[in-house]
Amino acid sequence: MEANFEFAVLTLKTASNNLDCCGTNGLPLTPSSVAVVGNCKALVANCRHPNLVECFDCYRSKHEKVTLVFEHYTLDFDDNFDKLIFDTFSALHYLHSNVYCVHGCITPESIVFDGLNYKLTLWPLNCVTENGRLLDASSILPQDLRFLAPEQVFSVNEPPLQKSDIWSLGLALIFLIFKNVKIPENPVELALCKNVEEVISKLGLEKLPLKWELLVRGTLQPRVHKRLSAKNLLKSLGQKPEEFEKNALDALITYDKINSTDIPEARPLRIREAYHLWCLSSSGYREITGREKNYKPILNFPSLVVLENQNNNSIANNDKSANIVFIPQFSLLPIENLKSRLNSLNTKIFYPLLLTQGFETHSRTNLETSSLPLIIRESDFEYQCERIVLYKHILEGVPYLRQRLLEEAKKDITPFYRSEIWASILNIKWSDLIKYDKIDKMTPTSTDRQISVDIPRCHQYNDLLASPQGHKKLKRILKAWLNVNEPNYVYWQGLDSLAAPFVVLNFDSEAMAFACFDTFIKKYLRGFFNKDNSATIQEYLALFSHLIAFHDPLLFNHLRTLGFTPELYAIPWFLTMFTHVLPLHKIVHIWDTLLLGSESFPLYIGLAILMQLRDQLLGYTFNDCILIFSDLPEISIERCVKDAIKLFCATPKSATARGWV
Amino acid sequence: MSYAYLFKYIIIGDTGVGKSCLLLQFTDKRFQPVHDLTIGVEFGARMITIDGKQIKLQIWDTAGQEAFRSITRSYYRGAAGALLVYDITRRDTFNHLTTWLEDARQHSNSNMVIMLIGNKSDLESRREVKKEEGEAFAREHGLIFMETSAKTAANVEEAFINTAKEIYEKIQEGVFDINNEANGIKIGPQHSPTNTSLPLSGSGSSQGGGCC
Repeated sequence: MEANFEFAVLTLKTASNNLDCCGTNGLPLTPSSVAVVGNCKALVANCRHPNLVECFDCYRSKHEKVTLVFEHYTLDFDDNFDKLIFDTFSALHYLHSNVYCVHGCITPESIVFDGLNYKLTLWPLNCVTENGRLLDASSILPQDLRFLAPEQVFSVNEPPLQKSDIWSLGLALIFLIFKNVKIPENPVELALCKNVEEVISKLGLEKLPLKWELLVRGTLQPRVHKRLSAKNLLKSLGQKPEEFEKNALDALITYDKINSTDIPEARPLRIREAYHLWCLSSSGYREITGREKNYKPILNFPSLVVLENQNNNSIANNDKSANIVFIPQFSLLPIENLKSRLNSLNTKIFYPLLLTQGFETHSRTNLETSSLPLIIRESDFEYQCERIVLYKHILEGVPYLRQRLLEEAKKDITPFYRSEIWASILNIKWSDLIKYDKIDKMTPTSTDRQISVDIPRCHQYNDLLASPQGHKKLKRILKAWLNVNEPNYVYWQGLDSLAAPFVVLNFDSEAMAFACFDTFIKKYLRGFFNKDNSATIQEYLALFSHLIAFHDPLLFNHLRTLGFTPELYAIPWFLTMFTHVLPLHKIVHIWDTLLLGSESFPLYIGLAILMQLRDQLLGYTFNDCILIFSDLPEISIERCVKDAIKLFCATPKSATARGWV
Repeated sequence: MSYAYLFKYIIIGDTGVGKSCLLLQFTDKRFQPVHDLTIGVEFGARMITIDGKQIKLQIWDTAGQEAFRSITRSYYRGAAGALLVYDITRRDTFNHLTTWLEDARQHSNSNMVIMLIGNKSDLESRREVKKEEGEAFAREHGLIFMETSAKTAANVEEAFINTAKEIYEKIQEGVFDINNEANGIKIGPQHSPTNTSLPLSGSGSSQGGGCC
């Protein structure tokens, strides 16, 4: 397979907060590194634009370090300058009007060429670090300061503006197009120009063809307000900028349009998928990439001349309050291994024939793999490659291929497409996503206090849920759910845990997380969140008791004699569909199957858990029993799921039918 | 481990006042600033010594949220002691004490010893409920009172142990019928002949039915 992509990694040292110190709510402060991870997954990870490099991973390592992983290319530019200008300004236009983020550190280095399109890179840095705040810096700047906009030079503590990007990109493009233009080493020289004429004469750009003159006059204006926006610049150059719609329906359609620009290439693998496979093929890589590169401080030293009589805010004026972080050099991950492994695969698996019976493309080795334990399957390079490609094609064909999707999901669900597969199983439609925008999630209600007490306790070992972005998302989703379902339903503790898997899986799409959450509750937890749910709970637990007696009279009698009733242990199981009692990595495996089952299926999972503890329970007294369930012992999820299916098949459906109350 | 008596405790009070943290501090001697919320009921156990006798405490830690009331009510049955907890930094948790107390009195046996606990005493700067107010409430309703901090462990041992002492005294005074398990007291294995595999003659009649 021909591929010219690279994976670049860039490691940032984030601000370390005093761990003993508490926030205003009395809880420990969130580490800045967690906040960066949350920002990255929430704001940046879902940006797909042909002219922006994708940032597909962000993880923490020791000493408060955060590593970003993004696509990179090392191809030489072709000399299609019109496309260069159009592509890069389209990227800025998208960033400014759709992602609402500012690049802030554009230099010629931040433009790459993938052989087809020009792309902006390093664009997420200001966004994920909140303009350097999370790095304990007042700003984050490129090593090469020549392209800084005047306002960045003079007020280094202020966050960069959209118009700063226009200046920097304009200057970077001039640099790339006119190789003989000399950009002053000291950005102050250009920053001190009073108007664009002075800039033009300083750079020796007089007598330019009209096209380039428009570019220079649109971008290199020392006065911020005279610079054009990316959109207007594209218009002035006779291009038609994309329109980004504020309303959700149009946004969805626009989103598809942008995505469709990728289709003519018909790449067998998307770059994100390739990265996922790279992770599988290079276990332990995080330790390698987490290592900090030591750069000699002298190389980081900005090439600046100190000028007198500047504002005390200026970098030119050794101001102590200005704590600047320079963007560290990124490095490239070794991908030779990935490329050779991909090339060694049977090409058939990249083009599965879904609609033609009898043309199954499973490779022989993968048939063998499919009988191995789930954990091994999930980390098997070849197997996952096949599953990812297969699911990608099936998901594109849903709802027509829904039946096929369900069949494949019975085997296993690839972690890479889990969020999309779950959403498809739950039958989420685009119309459900649009509804979310219209729900009031802001108006304060009497439940807010309870929600705000519960969220900081919800699966906080997970970086995404512990991040401020995660807290915000969870709060909005819960409030939206209450808004839609009140007064029939009220807020019950446990709803937070129940929403957690959907929030984590759909961290880049709150509307999707909400739609899944709402649909899931309607299907599996009917009546559980009524103001008075005692009838529902009693019925459910009665069915559960009934089921234990049916399958294991000995255990049932033992527990009944002890007085150890399901009321004492099973309420958190069912009320939260096991999300309160199990860690997320186990919950997803239970839910992979639970989602395929009927509303009674969770009862069988409960029974399967009891079965795994059966031998211990039979020898236990009441005291032992209550303690073992307060902290659920290690249980094998894969076995539990298999047992649950077996028990389900061996039970008359009427025995667990709900709905009598 | 053998014990002379087993007492069932129940911890009640508004959500977020630190019920589970108090329990964790008492059973594990550690503090978790971010504790999982409790759904339904969770349990803890610890052995203590009173008057030279080993006593096992079986502690039922209940969900605090209003919605769970109808579920938690069933847990009161057969409790010998209750810790009613409020948060000294949140006035509303103190204001709700009356409802909690009514609930407790209504669904438990009349002899249940109730200890009123003002938790989070380490957060003096954010205090909203004066110690005197807690004392007054306790006096008015015949409760024992203490301010604790699950974080610094101040008074945590005392809260659980003093409650047990009170129960123990009531047993000595004959207020509690120790043979009726509905009182939340169970006689330990070595004291209860019916629990041994070989029935001993002569002593079983009065204590029969006390177990299982």
